[in-house]
Amino acid sequence: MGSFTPLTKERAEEIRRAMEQSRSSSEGLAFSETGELEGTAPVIASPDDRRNRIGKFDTHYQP
Amino acid sequence: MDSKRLVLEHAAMMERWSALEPRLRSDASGQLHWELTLHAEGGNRLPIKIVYPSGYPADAPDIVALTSLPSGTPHLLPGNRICWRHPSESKRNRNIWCPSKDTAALCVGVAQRWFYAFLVWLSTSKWPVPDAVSN
Repeated sequence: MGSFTPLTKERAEEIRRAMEQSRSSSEGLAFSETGELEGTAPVIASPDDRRNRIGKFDTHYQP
Repeated sequence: MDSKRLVLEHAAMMERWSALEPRLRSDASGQLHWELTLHAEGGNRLPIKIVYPSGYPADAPDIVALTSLPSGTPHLLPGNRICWRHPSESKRNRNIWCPSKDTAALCVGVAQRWFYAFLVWLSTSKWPVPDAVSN
């Protein structure tokens, strides 16, 4: 099995809030080039700042 | 997949995620997929592959975790596939695969979002993204 290190409660809460905020129609989760979560960013902002924004597929479905 | 689309797919992937060193591979049957490893804080890593189905781009790719995940991991389909969309979804524009605009590069971001949700679940026992049932 893969080995994973749990997040601190504080960081987990920060990420939960960012994910909730990113469900607004104008916001997306922002990741660095290497995939580190940097918070949220407008999905239509300038594309030249090298951040990857995910403004789609923000709902998960029960299989 | 035709060669023009493949060039587009490659360009989109390298433009957005080259730092993750994605590798385009082909299996014995000729099915194409990308392999790469997602990174998250705390040294967490999740190797994945993004598989182009035979009906691509009309059909969305599958995102498969290449390591076993804890028993009870939510939003994980048989075959270690990440649950990221509902095939019959038609009401929420943000959750609909768009063959003319979306590429496998989008799936990397989707997988990254899933990975962070998984880490939150691992730490708090709660999946941080709302669930929905598509009708």
